[in-house]
Amino acid sequence: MKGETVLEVRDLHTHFFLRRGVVKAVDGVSFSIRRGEVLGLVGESGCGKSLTALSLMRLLPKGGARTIKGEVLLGGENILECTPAEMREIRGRRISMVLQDPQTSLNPVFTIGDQLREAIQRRKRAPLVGTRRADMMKEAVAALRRVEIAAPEQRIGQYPHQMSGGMKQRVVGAIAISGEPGVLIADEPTTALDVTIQLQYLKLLKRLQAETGMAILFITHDFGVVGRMCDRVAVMYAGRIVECGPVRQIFEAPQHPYTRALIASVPKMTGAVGRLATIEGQPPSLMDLPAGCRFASRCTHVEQRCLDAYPGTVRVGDEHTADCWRVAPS
Amino acid sequence: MNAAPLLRVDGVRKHFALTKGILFAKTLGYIKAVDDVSFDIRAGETLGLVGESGCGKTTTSRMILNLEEPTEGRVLLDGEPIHGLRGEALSAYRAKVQAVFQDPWSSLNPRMKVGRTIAESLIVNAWGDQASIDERVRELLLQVGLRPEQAQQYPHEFSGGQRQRVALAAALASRPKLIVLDEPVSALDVSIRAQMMNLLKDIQAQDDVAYLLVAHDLATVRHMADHTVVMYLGKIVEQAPTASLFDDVRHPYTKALFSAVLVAWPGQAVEEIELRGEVPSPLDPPSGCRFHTRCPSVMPHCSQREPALREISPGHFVACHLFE
Repeated sequence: MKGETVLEVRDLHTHFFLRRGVVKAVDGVSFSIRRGEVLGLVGESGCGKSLTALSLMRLLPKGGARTIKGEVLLGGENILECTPAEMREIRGRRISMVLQDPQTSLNPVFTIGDQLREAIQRRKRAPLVGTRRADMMKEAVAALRRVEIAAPEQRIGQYPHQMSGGMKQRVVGAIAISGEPGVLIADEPTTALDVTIQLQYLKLLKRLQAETGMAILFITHDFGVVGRMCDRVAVMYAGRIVECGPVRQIFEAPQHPYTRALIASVPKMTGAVGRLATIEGQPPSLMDLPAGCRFASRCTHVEQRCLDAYPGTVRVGDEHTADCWRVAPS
Repeated sequence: MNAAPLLRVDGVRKHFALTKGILFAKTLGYIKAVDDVSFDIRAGETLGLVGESGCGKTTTSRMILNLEEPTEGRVLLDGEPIHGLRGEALSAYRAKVQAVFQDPWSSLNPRMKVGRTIAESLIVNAWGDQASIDERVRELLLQVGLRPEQAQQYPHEFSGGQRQRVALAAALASRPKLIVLDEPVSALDVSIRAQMMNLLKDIQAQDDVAYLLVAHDLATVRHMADHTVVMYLGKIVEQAPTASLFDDVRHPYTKALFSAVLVAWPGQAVEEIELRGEVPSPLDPPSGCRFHTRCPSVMPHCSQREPALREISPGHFVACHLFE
């Protein structure tokens, strides 16, 4: 069932134009996702993973952020060229997003039912006047049932503050998938949840994906979530994807020194308890990026050529690429 | 290993009254945030306190920090009860028991140079003259891996990991015997987290300070703690030396918690226990065993009798009817 590419991002550049200079937050990102696939986008704070997601939705923060280069092909159409009106049609129906904090995604002064109804009505292009409220409410109940909320008939009349974090995140999920989008972007959807609730939510996402065949771009900083959820992983560092490949290969045979160091620094649940490996130093300033490899200043294998020029993307295996001078192309 | 513990938590309960109205307030009920919890922390050791939100781990740590009076039970430091201390005795206690909190963005005063933040507890405890305070601040900055001249900087000039180091330096200033670490690394990035955990271990080895590590991440606890206590809805459900707990998880809740930890490498087979539902309200906790509403191995009498915490192997305690 994993089939055609539904989303392809080519050489995406989103920069912040500030009075102090240009912050190259997303600086040449390329990847693609197929139908029914989960692609993980991993990296530390400030690496540009959330801004990549917002660029795809064309919901850039105010204050100088602009996508200046690249293509975002959704079903073959470059949505960066769409008008704002066309974009409103695309959002929710063809590409949707779930954010980290369900508290801020929901409106505190409307009931869950009203918020779901609004989403469903918009997706169905039902006229605001003349559509029977009861019909829409029936659909809202069905949407809640789909995300496995118990007693949806009662929940529909409640306000967000009456629900737990896990439940609110399910409601946000129900709204996001109400338009049957082909692509769902999930930006750290479980970071604010407890571990047992996180597991419930991840399993729910997997079940919904099996039903609908949607592609998921899963943004996280947690390698555990990646191992459980993703088919492929893209590792981001300082505005670029430095390594991308099938999840097993990334875990078992990471090629880029950054990926290797990152995985080594995660405390494990098995094996010896000793000192944890660390990555010394800080990522480079996005306003003043080095000419060569962006990880060079922290890399233990650094050579002269790493400082001179960016290595470019090297194919190291089946669907596996790394941006490093030292890897051997396959 | 010395027999007398540094800190003893003895049958502590904390019930918060839920009231309605301001004048003539009516008590609607009690939230049993912590309900009969006992454990010891030995000098130079780390005790990990694990559980999900609402399990009472933060309330327990607040009682140890003497920020909250227990409704019942006692907390003893070196055999002396800590609640009811006043004046100088309380200041002396605060110098011995310090804390580092989760969020390094809100735990430092943004308008104070970090050197002054670190010196604060030295000034309060009359450490000595200005020169000796400056010397101690310098020593502390070096100890946490910062440069002495950074004392002159403000918090906004530091990254999250560096701020957490400053918070640690401030906690270490008065040479405490115990530091309560409330989720000390969960706000930090993966690579910075490892640095902080290594630093905490190094400092413990040098200074022989004990830690109470409040955390939800089991892998962090595994790397840091000598003993681990697992809490659920205000009760201890399992308690053991960390190594034996991680080798041999017994309580169904702990098992579910372990299976939910997503550190499984892809392809690695794990027993997956998905708990149904959410943590019940502590206002009206389930009768009998508090976990029975979500337990996969629930038995008829679980809802009637509360299981006692009993020792099933040396040092390993479980509160579950399965082990009676």
